[in-house]
Amino acid sequence: MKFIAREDIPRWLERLAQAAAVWTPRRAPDGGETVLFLPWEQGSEPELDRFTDLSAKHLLLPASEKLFPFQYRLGGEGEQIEIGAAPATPESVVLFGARACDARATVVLDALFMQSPEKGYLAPYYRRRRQALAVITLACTRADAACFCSSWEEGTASREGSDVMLFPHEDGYLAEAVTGRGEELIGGEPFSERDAGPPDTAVTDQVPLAGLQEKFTAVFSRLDFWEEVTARCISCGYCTYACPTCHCFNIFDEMRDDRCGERCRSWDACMFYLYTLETSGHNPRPTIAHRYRNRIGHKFSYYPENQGTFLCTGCGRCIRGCPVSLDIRDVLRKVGDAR
Amino acid sequence: MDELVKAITAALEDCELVLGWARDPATGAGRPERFTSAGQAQEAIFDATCVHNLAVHLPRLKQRRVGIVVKGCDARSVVELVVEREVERERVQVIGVGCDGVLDLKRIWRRHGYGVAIEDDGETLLVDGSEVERQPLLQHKCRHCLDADPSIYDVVVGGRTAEGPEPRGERQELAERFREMTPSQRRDFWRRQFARCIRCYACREACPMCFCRDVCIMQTQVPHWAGGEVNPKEAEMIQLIRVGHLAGRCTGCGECERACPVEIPLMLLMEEQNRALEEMLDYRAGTDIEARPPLLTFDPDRDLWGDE
Amino acid sequence: MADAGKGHACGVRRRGRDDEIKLVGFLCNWCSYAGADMAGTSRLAQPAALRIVRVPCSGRVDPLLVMKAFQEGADGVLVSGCHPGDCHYNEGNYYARRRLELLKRMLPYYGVEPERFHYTWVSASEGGRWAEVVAEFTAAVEPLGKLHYAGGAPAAAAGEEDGDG
Repeated sequence: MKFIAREDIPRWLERLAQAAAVWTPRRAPDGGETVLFLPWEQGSEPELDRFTDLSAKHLLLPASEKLFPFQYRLGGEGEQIEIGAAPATPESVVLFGARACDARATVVLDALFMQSPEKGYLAPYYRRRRQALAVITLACTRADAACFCSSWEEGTASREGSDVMLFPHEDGYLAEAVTGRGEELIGGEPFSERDAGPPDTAVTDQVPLAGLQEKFTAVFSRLDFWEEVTARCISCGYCTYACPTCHCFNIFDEMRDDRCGERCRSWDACMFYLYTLETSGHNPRPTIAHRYRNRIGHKFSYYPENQGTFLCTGCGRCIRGCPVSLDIRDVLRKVGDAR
Repeated sequence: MDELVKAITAALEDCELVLGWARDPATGAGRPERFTSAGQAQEAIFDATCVHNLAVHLPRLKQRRVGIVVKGCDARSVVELVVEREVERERVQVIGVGCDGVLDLKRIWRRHGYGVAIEDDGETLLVDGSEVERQPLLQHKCRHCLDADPSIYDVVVGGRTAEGPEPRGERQELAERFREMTPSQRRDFWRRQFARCIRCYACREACPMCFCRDVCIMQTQVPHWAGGEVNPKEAEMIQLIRVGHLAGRCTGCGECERACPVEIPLMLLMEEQNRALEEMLDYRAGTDIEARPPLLTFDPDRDLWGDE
Repeated sequence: MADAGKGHACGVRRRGRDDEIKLVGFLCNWCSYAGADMAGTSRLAQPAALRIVRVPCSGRVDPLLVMKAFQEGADGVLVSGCHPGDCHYNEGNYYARRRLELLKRMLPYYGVEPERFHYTWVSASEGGRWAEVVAEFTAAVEPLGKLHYAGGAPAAAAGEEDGDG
């Protein structure tokens, strides 16, 4: 297999950065212990031993993006609206140091956003970013108490969504190209050959997923059940925003002055009261229990039904960072056990 | 903690539920729990991993008779909720617990791995089996705690064993650095901090005093205080809203900062504001259950700032 | 900014000239606005950097209005109401005083030099005093120059495509 020494990683990143915008896990400046996927800069140290606190989904679905500018102009026919072009996005992006759960999330999102034009929805903004993206994944040889990606078959060693897999080996990493683009990324310097195979990767906690769809439907209308499992929830949006697969958004116009503005799209979260508030004042999901039920339902029932895959990769971020220690695995197990 | 279990069980005779902590099976740390039966109350614990301020749940439980387990700092939130008429003192059974400071779990877990074993007796801290210095791993708020003993309670369980902590640690250094900055340096500082904000509103939702809940102006289109984009400017407006609206309400419990998933040091602003209010009006929120919220009143004879 | 008028000209009118400071004044309807009016009709000379917003009472001035003004490009904000004891609504300015004093003390921590904010009291008959207030405030802000608070002009933030999530 191909091999790269730990100390050669910066050289490799430098090479990658000549042709692409490169993102790596890094400590945020003045950010305490926070590790995020941030743009690579000359001399910046990638943080490869820690899980990132937020996912890399912003490379496909930015927390906030400008869709297009518009302007009202007075013309012969009265007021006209002029629509401008969408802002350009980078042509080539490399995500370095993702984990299997992050990489797999791109495949999970593709199920919705990359459908064939004839039968599905057109998502040009996503499509453009997705086609630009290459993912270099670091297989996990260690898991923590929040990880549960082994609930899916391949777990920490899943190659889904990755272009290159890196496996920790001695003083560096073994590299395996998963796609053609991956071959290019690990071609040439500073890689050498090593006579070794990929090591065993970590096994995480496993949540039984079989039959969850039906069980969710069975327990759907039992609001007392949902009230009980969400009693500690405070209805913030952390879990949805940290999630690599949650993709709900809001579209709105921001006026820059009285005639010009931009149509923007930002992340939105089903955990917010305002997310489903209707103009009439009616809210179909008025309580936290209603909203959390939707979160579970979307991930483990509706999405699999419509797109054929769970909207979850077991990355555990929603567990690690929850301000009130609400553990989605507990809820799933309770859904599974409910009768 | 038999005493605590007993206190909760006794409170349950009078209350529908008691807010307390039980052990999270995944990490062994405390997590918020609602106790509704004597049997369930057996699981109640209190130790340095019980970081949450449970008073955040009280406004949502307004119509019910509830009990609540509080640390000294949490008790101030209960007082302030009474002052703000969000909670009726008569409806709440307050069970105070003596506290030696609670741990900065996020810092520990980010360094050593989420859910790593933590053993603590109030003086010695073992992380993953080896001893580490306890002081720098306490919550920032604990380092200058004046409220270790609950100010209101119906029962008190346990007492402090350790001496009050001394201000120390990385977060304290940051606070000192912040105080020495010029305004324009702070402008850059906040721009850098707010660049991380994802607008999850965990700071707001974790705050016991942010009881407007679902109708907060941070997210409304009309009025349009903050735009809908995620950028440092809007993040800053959100914090300006929060700081402004918590003037005279913030008890310094630090939940906003603890809840922040990207470690924005939000308490820097709250602390300055609390200090300013103390200097101006000799007011500390949550210390006097008879108080009037200071910005909802005035005193012409005393308020003599500004030019005349 | 010579070519800013071409294509989509968002924010151009608002930005004004880059080298001039802009001040915003929130004046109560009953005293200070009338006082400023009087300074005008008395033809008292005063600097032209101040844009006045008339509000019903200084008690209406939410500190957020001040911060929003800074965010949207103001380099200084002035609030003026009736003298304490003379409020048209009896007590609006008493509430205002507590809030504005607190804001003044917080501004340096928000990253705004305290000289950029001033609150004061000017009555309807004090045209001369109004002219002095404006002159003094302008002189206090001028040496500090432009503020550029929070990337104030939206155009500056527009380049931040793909900001970290």
